[in-house]
Amino acid sequence: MTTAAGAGKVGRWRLVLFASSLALTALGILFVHSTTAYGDPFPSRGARGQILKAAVALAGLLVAARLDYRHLDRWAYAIFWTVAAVLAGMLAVKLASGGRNRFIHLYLFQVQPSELMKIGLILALARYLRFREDQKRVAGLVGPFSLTLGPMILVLLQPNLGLSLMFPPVLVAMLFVSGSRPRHLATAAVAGVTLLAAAYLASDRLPLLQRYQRDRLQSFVARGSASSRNQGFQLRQSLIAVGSGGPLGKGYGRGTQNTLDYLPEKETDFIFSIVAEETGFAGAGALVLLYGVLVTSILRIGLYTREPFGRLVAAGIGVSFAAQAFENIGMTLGLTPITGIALPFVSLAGSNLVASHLAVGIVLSIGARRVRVVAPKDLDPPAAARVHRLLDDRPAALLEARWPTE
Amino acid sequence: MVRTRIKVLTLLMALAYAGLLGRLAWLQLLPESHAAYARLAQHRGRAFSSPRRGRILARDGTVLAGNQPVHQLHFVYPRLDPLDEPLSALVDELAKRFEVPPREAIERRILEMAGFEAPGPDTPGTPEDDGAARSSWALLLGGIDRVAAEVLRARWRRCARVLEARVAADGIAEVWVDLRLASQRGSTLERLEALLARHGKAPERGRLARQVAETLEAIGARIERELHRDREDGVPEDRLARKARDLRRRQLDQPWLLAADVPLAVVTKIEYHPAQYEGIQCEDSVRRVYPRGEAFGTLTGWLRRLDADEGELRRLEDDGRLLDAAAVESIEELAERRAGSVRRSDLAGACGLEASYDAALRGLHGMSVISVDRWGRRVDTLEDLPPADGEDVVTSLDPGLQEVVYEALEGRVEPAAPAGSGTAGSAAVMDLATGALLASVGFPGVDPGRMREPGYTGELERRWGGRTRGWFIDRPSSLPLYPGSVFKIVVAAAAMESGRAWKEPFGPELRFPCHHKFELIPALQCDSLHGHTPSRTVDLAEALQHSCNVYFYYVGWKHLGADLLYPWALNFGYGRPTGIDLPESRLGRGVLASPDRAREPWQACHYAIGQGFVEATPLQVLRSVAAIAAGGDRVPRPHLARPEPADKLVLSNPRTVAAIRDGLWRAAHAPQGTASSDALGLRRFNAALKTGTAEVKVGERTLHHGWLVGFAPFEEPRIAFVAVIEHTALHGAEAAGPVVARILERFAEAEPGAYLVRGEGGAR
Repeated sequence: MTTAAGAGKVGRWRLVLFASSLALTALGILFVHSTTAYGDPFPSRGARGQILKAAVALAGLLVAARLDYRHLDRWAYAIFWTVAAVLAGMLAVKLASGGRNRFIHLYLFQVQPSELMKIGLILALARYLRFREDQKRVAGLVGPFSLTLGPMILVLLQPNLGLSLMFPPVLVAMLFVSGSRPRHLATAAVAGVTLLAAAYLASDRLPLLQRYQRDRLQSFVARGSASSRNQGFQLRQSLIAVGSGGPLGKGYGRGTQNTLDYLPEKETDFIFSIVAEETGFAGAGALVLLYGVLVTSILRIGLYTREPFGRLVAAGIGVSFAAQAFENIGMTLGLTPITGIALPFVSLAGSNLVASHLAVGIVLSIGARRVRVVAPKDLDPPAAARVHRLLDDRPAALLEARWPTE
Repeated sequence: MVRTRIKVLTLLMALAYAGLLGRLAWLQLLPESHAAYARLAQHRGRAFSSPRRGRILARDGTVLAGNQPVHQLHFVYPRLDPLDEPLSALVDELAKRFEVPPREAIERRILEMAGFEAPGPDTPGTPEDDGAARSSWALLLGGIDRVAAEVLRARWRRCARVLEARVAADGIAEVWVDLRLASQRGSTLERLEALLARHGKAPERGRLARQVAETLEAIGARIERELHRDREDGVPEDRLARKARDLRRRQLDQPWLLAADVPLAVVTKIEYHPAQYEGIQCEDSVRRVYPRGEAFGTLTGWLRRLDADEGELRRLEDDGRLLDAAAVESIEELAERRAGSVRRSDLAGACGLEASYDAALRGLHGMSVISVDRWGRRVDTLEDLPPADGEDVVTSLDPGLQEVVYEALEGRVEPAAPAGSGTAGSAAVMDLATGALLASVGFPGVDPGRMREPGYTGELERRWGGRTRGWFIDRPSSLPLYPGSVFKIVVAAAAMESGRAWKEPFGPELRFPCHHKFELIPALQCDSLHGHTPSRTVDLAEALQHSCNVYFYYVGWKHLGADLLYPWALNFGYGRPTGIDLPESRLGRGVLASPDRAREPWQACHYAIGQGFVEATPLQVLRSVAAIAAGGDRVPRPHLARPEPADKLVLSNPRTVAAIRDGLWRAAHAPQGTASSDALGLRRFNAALKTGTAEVKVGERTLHHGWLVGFAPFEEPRIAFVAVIEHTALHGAEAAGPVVARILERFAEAEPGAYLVRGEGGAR
C-alpha cells in the first residue's frame, strides 16, 4: 500500500474546504448575533438558534463526509424524486389552503425543502451525465434541461424565485464540464435570459410570479421610481450600510444601519451589508475571498477526481455555492436584482445552513475516495511511477496495490 | 479536456468575484462615496427647541405676564391599549383564510374573559394593587393553520406581547391572549380618573377615554387626507393600505396630549407607579400666565397662535422668516437666520406689550441635529445650538396704583355705580420727569389669561357688548373722545402765544362779557345763567376756573380762528400719535379737523371748546396737560418700557404757563371752581385741575364724557393725570373726580407734604 503523489494535494484542498466552511459558519454566528442582539449579551436569541442549527449541520457534514459518495450515485434518482414529490405535495397543500408555503414544520425547526432540491438536482444531473456523450449534440440537451425545469418550476411556485434562479447556472456548468459544446450552452443561456425578460414584461398577465417578486425585479430595473419605493428602500439602506462602512468599518455591533433597524432582513438575506458596514472593506473583502477559497477548493477537488460522477457533483456544488454567494452579495451591492436568497453559511436560515454543510460533506467524501488500480503486489517503484504516468495527469488517487491471493 | 473545462469554470468564478470586490472597493474605498454614505448613515434629523418667552414686569418687579410650568399627561397608544394593533392584525390576517367574527365580537369576548380582573364600580382600580407582575394567558382561538400563525408572529413582532400564536401538541396553532394586558386600557384610564378626582381635578367620567378616542379620530382623519392625495396620484390600493398602516403606527408611537395642567401630586404618583399607568407619560410644559389679570389686560396684551392666520404665514415664508417651511439645513444656517424668524407653531403677541415687544420677548429658537432610528426616535445629538431665552420687559407701571385706579373706575361705571354713571372709563398717570406711565387703565378690562379660553369672549360680549363698543381695546391709548373743556388749556396757550388783536391785543387780563348767551351767536350759550362773576365779565384765569364757554368763543373765533387753533393743537400732541410703545393704532391718532373744515364762525367756536372738531385719546389729553405741568418747554411722550425723547415745545410768552396754571389752580381751589366743590373733596390736594364735560348724543339722549385732568404738586409738578368716564349723565368733575381723588390720595399717603395743601381751604 503506497500513497500517490497527488493524495497530499487533495488532502490539503479538503482541509482548506473544511476550514473555510467552518470559518464562514463561525462568521455567520457572529453576525447573526450582531444583527439580533439589540444589546443582549452573546448569544442572542437568534444566535442561539443559529448555533443549534450549525451544530446539527456540522453533524450532517461529518456523516456525509464519512459515507462513501458512490452510494449517492446509486440513490441519486431516488433522492431527486423524493424531494420533488415533497415539493409537489406542499404545492398541492398550498393550492388547497391558498397561502404561501415555503416551510415544512417539524417539531424543533422548519425545513425548506427547496434547498434540498438543489442537492437532489445536482446528484440526478451527475448521475444522468456521468457516462454520456450525446450532450454534445443539441438533442442530447433535452434530457438534462427537462430534468432541471421540473424542480425549477416547483421551487418557483413555492414561491422561491431566488433559489429557482440558481438552478440554470448549475445545469449549464455541469453540462459544460461534461463536455457539451459552449456554443449550444451560450445559445441556451441567451434564450433563457430572453425568456426571463419576456416573462417579466408579461408578468402582469402571468400568474407565475408573486406580486412581491415582480416588485423586486422592477425595483432593480427601475431603481428609485415611485412604484418601487419599498424595495428601493431596502437597496438604498443596503448601499448606505456598505458605503458607510468604509475601509475598516464601524466596529462589531456598532453599525447604525444595523442597530437603528434601518436595513430590513438584515439578519437573513442582507447580512452581508452588515458585515460590510461593521468590518468595512477589510472584512467584507475577506468574506468575498473566503467564498472564492471555498469555491476554488471544491472545484479543485473536482479537478483531481477521476471518477466522472464525483467530478460532476463537485463541479455542480461548487458552481451552486459560487452562484448563490454571487447573487446574494451582488444584490446587497446593487449589482443583481433583489431575490430572497440566503448567503450560504452566514445568513440566519437553517435549511440553507444544513443543505450547505451537507453539500460540503459530499464534496469532502468525493475528495476522500480515490480510484482503485489493481496491480501486482510486488510492483517495483519504477513500475509504479510508470502507472502514475499512465494515469495521464497528476493522479488524484491512493494506489491500492493488492494482488488477489488466490 | 474535462480538466481544462473545470479550470475555465474556476477562472470564470474568479472573474465574477473580482467584480464583486471591485464594486465593494468602489463603494467603500472611494473617499467621496464613503463620505456621502457615511453622512447618509447618520440619518440626520432636526429637532427645534423653543426659547422661554421673556416676562413683562412692573417697575417693582411684579410679574404682569410670566410663564408657569404646568404638568401635562400624554398617552402612548400602543402601550395604553396594547390589544388594539395586534387584534387588527389578527382579524386582518385570518379574514384572508377563514370566516372571522367581527373585531368587536372578539374584543367583547376578551373583555368578558378578563371580567374577573376588571375593577368593580366601588373600587375604581385600587392603586395599591400592583398587578403588573402577574399575567394571565387564556386561549382565544384554536385551529389556526401554522402558516397563519407564522405570519401573525411576524406581524406581532413589534407589538406589545398581548397576543401569542402557540403551536399545540397536535400541530395545530392557537392564539392566546394575555387578559391582564388586554384589559389594561380601560382600567388605566379609570385609575387615572380616580387619581385626578382624589386630587381635586374631577373630569367627568369617561372624559379621558373620550379624549383618547377623539385623538385617534383626528389622526385617522389626517391619514385619510394624506392617502386621498396619493389616491389621486394613482397609487395602487394595496400600497395605500400598507402606507396607512405605517403612518398610523408612526403617529401612534408618539405621545399625545391627554390632560393639561395636572397637579404635581398626580405626576408624582404616576412616576412612582409606572406599571399601573402603563402608556401614560408626564411631561413638563409652560403656560403664559397673567397673574394681575384684568387691570393690566389690555396693556400686557395676550398671545395668539401664528398658524391661525395662513395669510400671515405665507407672508413670513416669502420674507424667509418662517423656520419650518424653508427647512433649515444646518446649525449655521439657523444661527444666521433665527433672529426675527418664527416657527409655524409659535405663539406671538396679539396686542399690547406682548405685540409691541414681541421680538425681544420671543427669544431665539435653538436646534439640535440629531440622529434618529428607523422609527424616528432620537438616538444621538450630533450638533446643538441652544435656544436664547427672550428678554424680560420692565415697565414703568406701579401695580398698586394701577389696581387702585381700576377699582376706582369700576366704581364709577354701571352697574356697580348708581344710575347716571358711565358705561366705561379710563385713567392714566404720568411721571413728568420721564414721561413714563405709572398707571394706564381702561375699564372694562379683559383677563388675558382667559382670552384663549373658549366662551370667554362670548361672556365679555354679553356683559359689555350692549353698553360700550371696543371692550377689548386699550382705551387710554386708542379710544378717541371729544375732549370738551379740557381742550381749553390748548386754546388758552394758543391765545397767549399768538392771539391776534381784535379790538385790543390779547392778554390774560383781557375780559370778555359772559351772561349766559354769547352775544355774537345767540344760539351758543354758557352754563351759567347770570354770569360767572359779579361784573359779568371774565378774564383768562376766571374763564379757566369756571370753564366759561363764551370766553373761549370770543378767543377761539376772534383772536385765533381754526387756522391758529389747528397748529397749536398739533403742538400739544392732538391729532398725532402719542408715540407710546404699544402697537400703533390708527385710532390712537385721534381726530383734529384741518382749518379748512372749520371756516364758519360757529365752527371755530365749537373747535375752541373741544366739541365736534377734535377727538383725543386720554393719553393725548394727558400729554397736553403734562406739557403745561412740565414748564411748557416740552410735550412728554408717554411710554411703558422704553423712554422716548419728549417733543420740543417753544413758548415765547413767558406768562403763558403761569397764566394757565393759575387758571387750573383756581378751578381746583377757588370757591366757584369747577372742581372745587366740597362734595368732591379735591381741594385738600395740592393739585391743579381742569374739568371737561363733552356732550355726546346717544340716540335721543345727550350724555357726557366727563373729564378731569391735572397735575400735582402745584409748585413743582411731578405727576400729571387724566381720568374720563364715558357716556355719563354727570358733569366732568362729578364723574371723574372720585377717580382722581383716589390717585391723589395714594400719592398723598406717601408724601403728604407735597401732595396736600397746607392750611385750611387751600387758599393761596
